[in-house]
Amino acid sequence: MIQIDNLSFQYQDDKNMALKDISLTIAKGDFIGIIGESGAGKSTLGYAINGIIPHHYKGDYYGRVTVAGLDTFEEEPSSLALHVGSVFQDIDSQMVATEVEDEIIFGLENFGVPKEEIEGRIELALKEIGISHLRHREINSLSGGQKQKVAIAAIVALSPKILLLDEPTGELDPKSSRQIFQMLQRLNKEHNMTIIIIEQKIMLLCEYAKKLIVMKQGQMLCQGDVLEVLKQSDKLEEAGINIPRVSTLCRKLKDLGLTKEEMCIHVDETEAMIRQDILSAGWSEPQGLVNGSVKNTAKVITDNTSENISDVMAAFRNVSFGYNSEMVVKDVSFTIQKGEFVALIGENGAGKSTLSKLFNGLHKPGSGTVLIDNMNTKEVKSSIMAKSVGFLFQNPDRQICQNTIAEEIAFGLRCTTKDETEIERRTSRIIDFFGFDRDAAPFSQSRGERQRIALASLIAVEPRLLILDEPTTGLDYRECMEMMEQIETLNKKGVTVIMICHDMEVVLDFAKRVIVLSEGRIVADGETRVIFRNREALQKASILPPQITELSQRLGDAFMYADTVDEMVQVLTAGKEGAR
Amino acid sequence: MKGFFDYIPGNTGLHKLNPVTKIMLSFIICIACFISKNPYFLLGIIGLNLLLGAYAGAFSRAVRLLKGLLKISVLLFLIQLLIIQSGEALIALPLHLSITDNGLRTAINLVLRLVGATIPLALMLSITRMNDLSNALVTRVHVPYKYAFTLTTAIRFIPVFTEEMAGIMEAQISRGVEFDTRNILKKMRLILPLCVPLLITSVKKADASAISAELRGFQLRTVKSCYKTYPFHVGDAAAFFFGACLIMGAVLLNLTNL
Repeated sequence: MIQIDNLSFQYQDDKNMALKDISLTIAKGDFIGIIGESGAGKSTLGYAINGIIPHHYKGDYYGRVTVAGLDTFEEEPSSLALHVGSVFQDIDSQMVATEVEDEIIFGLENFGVPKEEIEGRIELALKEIGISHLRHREINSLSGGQKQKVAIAAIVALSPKILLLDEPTGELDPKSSRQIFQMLQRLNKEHNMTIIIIEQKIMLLCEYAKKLIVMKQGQMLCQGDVLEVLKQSDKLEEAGINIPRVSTLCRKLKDLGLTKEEMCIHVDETEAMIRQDILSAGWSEPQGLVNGSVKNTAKVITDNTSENISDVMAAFRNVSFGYNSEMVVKDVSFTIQKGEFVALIGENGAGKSTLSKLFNGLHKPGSGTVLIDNMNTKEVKSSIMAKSVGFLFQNPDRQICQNTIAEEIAFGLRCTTKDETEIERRTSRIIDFFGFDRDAAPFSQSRGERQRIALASLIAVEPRLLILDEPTTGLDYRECMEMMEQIETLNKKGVTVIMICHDMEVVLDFAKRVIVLSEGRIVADGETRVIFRNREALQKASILPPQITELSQRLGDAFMYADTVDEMVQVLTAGKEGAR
Repeated sequence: MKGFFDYIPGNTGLHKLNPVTKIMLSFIICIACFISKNPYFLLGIIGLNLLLGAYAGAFSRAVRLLKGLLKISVLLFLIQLLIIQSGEALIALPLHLSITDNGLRTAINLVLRLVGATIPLALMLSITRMNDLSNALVTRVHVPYKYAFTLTTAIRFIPVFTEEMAGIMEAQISRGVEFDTRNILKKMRLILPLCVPLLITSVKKADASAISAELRGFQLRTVKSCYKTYPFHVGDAAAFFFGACLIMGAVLLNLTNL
């Protein structure tokens, strides 16, 4: 279906090769995931398949790409588009219409589909994607997940043989991301459509894709069936990819000789493997609890309003807030102590972002009071609060506005102090701490680097409270870890951290307390490990617990609070020894 | 500004008019405003605008527009009042200035014209789907599709960029830039550096948009591509007739010098 021979590409005005000597064959009916760090050349590879390279973006092009027998160098992207349909991450830029129906008609009209066929095609495409009920809705009134489905339906209506998607779930929450993947799987199975998806979410790829291509610095590190690729853990590590935690667990157990199973991806098969190979082969619950220390620390947080007021960083008392007449945050009360690391979780639209803006007074409470560091947000301007409350937004490009990294960091400082020597001293210190090049232009850095620059310019002000709105979205695994480790360092120095996050593994690894929001109300608040075992609350917020937590719950009480790979290995080996 | 140009769904006679008619009608109302020198006529047009808005289910938006225009109207009114010194002085002011009958009349007319002429276009745009507008312009007025598409895309991007700008402002306030000040001059000065992030986002979005349109066969599109048809009906004729009457009315009132 797609044949790539020795493809290399270098963008105009770019020093580095974006793609280096890629050779690849993609067969009809494949479901391929392309994964790798940002800047690895994933999108460029996608552009080479739909003809955007070399037709839209110019540069030095070597090698040959044929799609359905057509040489992409000769054919215009629009004639390739009938064979390869493309869907992108930026949802709003893809849309051309006001109404769902018109969005789908647009492509059909352009490619000259006979008018008598159009109605049938619209109906079919909407049915395939499962959004027939949205046909006459305004696109503006849809959620992000629904919009992305419309974008896919508009492409599917053209009945391409290949569907190419570049991080289609980048702006979506876990629930909508999964729906997109389920839909792609159906298209692949029922219509034998070839699916190529560029994606950071390794868990979803492992679950739904058939094959993986791993990229690093323009090269293809490895490719093949998902299971085969996962076995090459050294290469995945080199490419900066985190493999599913049950896969790591499985590998470790195999190394210890506890199982013969080569590779697990799903919790189901891991549970079956452990039960069969370990639990039924002589295992008893370890006495004296190896992970007892974990059990003891995980206590439910009680209401701490009575505690010393000077230790309180943030206090919300019966806070409600809404836009116009619609309430988004409803009667919320909680207290956060100095030095805590709290995660706010919940599905899209649960009110997380709105709640976070109440912390620095960008939103003033409609009723109730918000006290931050003994300041009432109703009485203090947000720009003044910036001295003690740092707010990192999901999109760093809204924060960055200067020509060099040093100026960027000094910019925030100038808003709070006039002392130029002090500004210079703090700027230099922060630049050293993050290891930046002070004269580099912030905008030409990678997404992960821009996120770190935005964080650095906040930290320079030395806030006592840090609010993070999805700090790891759009970052690859390595960038994500760098980011989170820096935040953890700050937290250890005494900065209180409140983080909105969709990645439950990041929450488990870093946050000590979790507040679960659903429809504007708090449905659970407590120690992270306890909350992840509160099925009722998680279900309300449509959240799946991390893999190992899910596994430990299924295996029973003996595995209580074994939430990491190491803890799980510990309980399993201790039980094995106990049985001897 | 959020949602200002969002389509307001509906099934009224105004919604059903041909998009070309809607645009023409709003231009005609604008022209009538500029021809007329009669404040009562202009007030009537403003009333008509509100009526049309109410009929199309867009009354609250029309009122919001009116409120938005009020501030700038007051400013323009005062400026006109002070600049025009010809005619009979009604009230003397310091600095040898005075409020004159000419000044008062011109200032009132200017403000009424501004309000009367601004609302129709915004109103018509909010009850027309952008695709219908560009398709009708292409099939009926024979505007090249490229230009029609550029126009409608620009309008479609207004709310996207407004939201982006609001996001940028929030992000900057959160890092200590004093946008929440009441001092307008200070605010203007602070806003300049923000054009950089907005510009960069715009270029990115425009590029993404171009790639997406290209891959959906935008260049292959011709006048014949259009699936839906945009015939003119009796309602359209009535709207044009009504527009002609408005212009005539404005001219006649000027001549009779009422």
